[in-house]
Amino acid sequence: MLTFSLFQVLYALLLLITLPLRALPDVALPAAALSAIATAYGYLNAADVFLPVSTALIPIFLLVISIETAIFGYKFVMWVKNLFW
Amino acid sequence: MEFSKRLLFLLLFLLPFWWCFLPQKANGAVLFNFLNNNLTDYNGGYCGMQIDQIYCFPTSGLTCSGEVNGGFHPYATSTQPALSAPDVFIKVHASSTANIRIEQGWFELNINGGAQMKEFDCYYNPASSNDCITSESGVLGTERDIILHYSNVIFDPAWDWYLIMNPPGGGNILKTGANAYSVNYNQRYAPFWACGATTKAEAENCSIPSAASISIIQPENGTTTTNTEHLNFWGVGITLNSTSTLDDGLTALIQVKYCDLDTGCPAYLIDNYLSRWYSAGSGSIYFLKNYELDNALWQAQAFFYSGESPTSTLLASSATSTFTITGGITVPTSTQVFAPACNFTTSSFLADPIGNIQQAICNAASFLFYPSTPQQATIGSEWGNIKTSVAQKPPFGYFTSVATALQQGTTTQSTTTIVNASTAAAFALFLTPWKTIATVLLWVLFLFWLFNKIRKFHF
Repeated sequence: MLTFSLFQVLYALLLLITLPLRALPDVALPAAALSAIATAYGYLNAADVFLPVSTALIPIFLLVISIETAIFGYKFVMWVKNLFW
Repeated sequence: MEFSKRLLFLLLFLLPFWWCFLPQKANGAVLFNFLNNNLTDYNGGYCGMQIDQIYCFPTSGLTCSGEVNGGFHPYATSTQPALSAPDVFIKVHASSTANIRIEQGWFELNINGGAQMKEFDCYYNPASSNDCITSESGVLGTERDIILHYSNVIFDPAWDWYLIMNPPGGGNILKTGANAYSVNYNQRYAPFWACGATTKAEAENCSIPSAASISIIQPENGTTTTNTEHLNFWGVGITLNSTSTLDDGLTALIQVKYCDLDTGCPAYLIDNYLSRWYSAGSGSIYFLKNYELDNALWQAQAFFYSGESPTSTLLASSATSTFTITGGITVPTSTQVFAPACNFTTSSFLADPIGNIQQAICNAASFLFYPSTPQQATIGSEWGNIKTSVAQKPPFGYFTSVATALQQGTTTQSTTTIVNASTAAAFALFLTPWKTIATVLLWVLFLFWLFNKIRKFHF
């Protein structure tokens, strides 16, 4: 009872917090982007015969991009912060 | 810090996210699902599509090709509807936050290796570009059912028919590769399905015939298992009557409830399985258990619903199956069900006062802190819904879309051939270990890079 009530309260809070976000319309990538990904995969799948495209190259590439973007974002925020502190 | 500087800092911080605040396209995630009812086309078999995925279940006389990225004929030529086909009612269920319209059209298949590439068009008769039999129906904001009525229309089996969900403003369906397509953000389409109804009233009430039965075939009733043989999956047998079809497009719920008789029933654990069926008659299906069963005396019962939730019509329920799990099987802690077991005493209070007090405290604590099975389901559903809805909103929706596109990309057919199949097969002895070695090397290099990145990072 208490656990369930607690989760209900948290759920209500989460609903409230995410209300502005949920009020926004859904988004999706433009068709051109989806088409580009499909086309790229078409070529990459051809190379998957002799290269570990799906098991290593693409996951590692995405991980590297994500990590570098995160580092860049962090440094940018710190740079802005240091302008005023 | 002064207010103006704080404001400036905030604006600078938000600068990289400026695109999040741009007006978003309102057509992104138009859901397009057929009702979970018995939709039957003229020959009793068809292919179906659900949002971005096509499920293709060929039945006798039906030609299916390119299950994921291709298209298919809804009819075999030999079973095409008679020219005097009655009125056709198509019942669809749509939910959207945008205005949409539904139209129909044809999309020529490209089965034989990409000789032709045609874009979607809504022409009923390809020979006449003006002969478009578009039927439109708007969905404004809220979820609703739509009945499309086509009177005296013959759907040529030589073409592939789709329902198109298309918001105002239109858009293109791109078709790339041999049998591939790419659905853009504002169009969803599905193969043509016709409810086997001849009146609107019948179309609105398409449902699965109620003659169905379900039984638990594994674990066998009254048996004792001494190993892990029956711990991992359920076997459920389903029988539909010979005239009904729990067909391809239908997603039905099969629910197995089971409880531990040693610790007290009916505190049921519930496993839900969504299943698609494509034939009448009897069949069996196996599901992975969501729970691992501890050594105990168990009781189980299976339920078969017409829709995706237990609120839909219960078509059949099985007899109770009782079985014993023994053999010293260790249940992993991570999957153990922490249901409270308040079994301190069964004696009266005067005979066992301590045990009764323990029992009372345990019962009270269980009531207060342990959510019941319906409550657990409610919590899971609510939190899952939030995750699902937020995942489609900006800016997260962009990442979700990319991730989905990337996942779907793994099934994209190759548009070019570097090494043909026979050569790849000939070199498999070399290529397979080479790919394994290369994979390991690349991941090791990545970990090395990551280690150095962290080591040299200045916080």
